[in-house]
Amino acid sequence: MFSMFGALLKKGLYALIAREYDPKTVTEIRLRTGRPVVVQTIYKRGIVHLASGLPYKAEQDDIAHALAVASNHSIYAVNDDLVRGFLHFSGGIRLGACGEGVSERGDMLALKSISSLMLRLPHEVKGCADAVFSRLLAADAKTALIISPPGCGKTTMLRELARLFSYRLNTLIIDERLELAACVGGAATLDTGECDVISGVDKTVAYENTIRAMSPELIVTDELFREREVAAVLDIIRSGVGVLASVHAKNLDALKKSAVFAPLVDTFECFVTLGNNPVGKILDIEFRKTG
Amino acid sequence: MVVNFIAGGMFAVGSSLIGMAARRHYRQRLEIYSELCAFINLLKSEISFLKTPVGGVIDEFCQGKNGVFHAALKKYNEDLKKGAPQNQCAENLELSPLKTGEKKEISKFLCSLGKLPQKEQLNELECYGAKFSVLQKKSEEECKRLGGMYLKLCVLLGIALMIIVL
Repeated sequence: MFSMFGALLKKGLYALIAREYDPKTVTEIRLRTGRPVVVQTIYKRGIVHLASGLPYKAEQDDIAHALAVASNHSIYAVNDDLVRGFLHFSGGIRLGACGEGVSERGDMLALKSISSLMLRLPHEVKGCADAVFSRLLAADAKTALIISPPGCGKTTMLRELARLFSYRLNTLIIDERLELAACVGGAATLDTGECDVISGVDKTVAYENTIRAMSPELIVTDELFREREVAAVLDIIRSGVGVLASVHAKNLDALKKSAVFAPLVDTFECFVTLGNNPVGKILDIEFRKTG
Repeated sequence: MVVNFIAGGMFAVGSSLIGMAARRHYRQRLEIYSELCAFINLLKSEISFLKTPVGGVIDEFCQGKNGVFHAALKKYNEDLKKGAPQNQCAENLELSPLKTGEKKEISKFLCSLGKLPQKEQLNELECYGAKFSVLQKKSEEECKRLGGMYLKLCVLLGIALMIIVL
């Protein structure tokens, strides 16, 4: 998987990263114009050094190269994604982008002068969800919320749970940002078992369309964010379909304090909190007290 | 006498071949600009309706065609797929019938592709389309006037040499 980064990075930079870090553990690479390149692995965070020992500073050309390759040399084809702040590349690699927005009457039309890129590499960790899966089965729970700050392995955990459940239930993955299944040409490139996958579609649209068309018993989706997404998920659970989802929060208490996300706490049956030391560490599995 | 006859014939044939090469040169220039304009038109329709990536448009445009421009475009696309920088791929275009300055213009055009959002990209394509259609008309005129003239001159020169030798 790391070798896919090779296409996005200029040859020299790729070699420098591979020399300093174990490719199998790299989860993120950050390029900021004129600043040292930062690499995040499962275990540590560091910068990239030149052979002389000095830090390698990213140039505009490094960013332009990554953008060109990720967009297939066609920014116009990915402009909508770029406006939303990210691009996706083969194998589920996601590129977060920051730059200058171009707006007209309040609508963002484009993102220009991109000066920061974050390349995030998905990881398949078979077995990382075994403990959660067995607890869910034991409790006969079909709704679970994975909670953690960014970069703690929520997506990896969800993918693995989806794979495990897919052999028992009709499981549908709604992969809005193409990270869960990393579809290329409609086919998942990461192991999602027997799941059906709808990718690149807004969650709320996908919920409506697929519940009628695919009759799933379980829906798996990543990063609930807006109020309407929360409302849609609550509606799905009410209709009797199981949901495995993730949300950004420090822990369950933080979620309870949020006006937007608090209703989730009253609806989901199980809450799994993840930490980042090491990435993906299960800090807590809590079941909602009923009655 | 036989030697003179053979030499005269060779002069006539050689000179005609040079004339034909000159005509072919102008025809190739015309073909390059005509195909370039057709490529821009295809880009405009593909980008405006389907947002097809540049590589996909090139594949579609070059499918089953073997002209000078198609060969250059195919190589450009292959180099891009191998991960070479876009400007380097564009600089290595093999368009021998064109002068260095003209080749640079086409390289600049290819380099500009895919760097803008849809609306701006289409506007830019419109500008390049207008620019290259002027060059297409110019090369069409050159092809008729100069290509034909060089061929006739060379044939006449060959006949004249043959007469002198005989």
